[in-house]
Amino acid sequence: MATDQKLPAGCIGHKSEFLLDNGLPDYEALAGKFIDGDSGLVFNSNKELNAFLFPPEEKKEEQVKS
Amino acid sequence: MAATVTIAESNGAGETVTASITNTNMGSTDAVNLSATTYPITPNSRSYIKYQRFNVQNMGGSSIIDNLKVWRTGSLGTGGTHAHVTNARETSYGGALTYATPVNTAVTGVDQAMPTSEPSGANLGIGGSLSGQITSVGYSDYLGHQITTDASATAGSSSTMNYQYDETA
Repeated sequence: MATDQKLPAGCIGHKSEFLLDNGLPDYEALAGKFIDGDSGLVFNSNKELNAFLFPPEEKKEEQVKS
Repeated sequence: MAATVTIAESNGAGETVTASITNTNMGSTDAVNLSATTYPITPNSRSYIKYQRFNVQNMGGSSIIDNLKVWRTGSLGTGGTHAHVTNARETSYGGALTYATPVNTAVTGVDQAMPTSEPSGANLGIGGSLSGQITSVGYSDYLGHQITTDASATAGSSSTMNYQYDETA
């Protein structure tokens, strides 16, 4: 008579992530990207305001004008 | 051949069922496989509750799926008090949770602390009972779970939800 065989337990794992909205920018996700089209502020991955607030071309134009 | 088991999730007022989820991220909207970055939780509020089920899509020649266990591996975030609440429990199981349009407020019966290690026994039922069995294509009871935060919370976290079952060939 055949008997039921217990197989190894199956286990499914899924990532469970949540983030908090503290009103601060997500620096990691914004690294290298503009967060505001008007101000052109860019943050690097060290959460520091990037030194280049404007594209190099625009800086040259401002220098010429002055 | 082993049974085919996935985790299904239900969302929306009309209960849209996704047969197999790719993540169980918790956030500020009712959506399956959501992006935590896109839907962060405001401190002092809850995430939208998740309604999920073990989904036996194919018995694969096996006769029984039972002894369902769920738990989380990994800590919650920092800065304040976070909690991960659920209806899953090894004792005094409250019977099958009824699906309702997911909300980001407290849900009756979803008030147990999610285990952080494998429970000694089943903590999610089948047919309203921890000793229930799935013997053909079908679902377990709903697993309801949700994140709660307080005003002092400053960071979230990334952890792993484990969904385990026994299979008898």
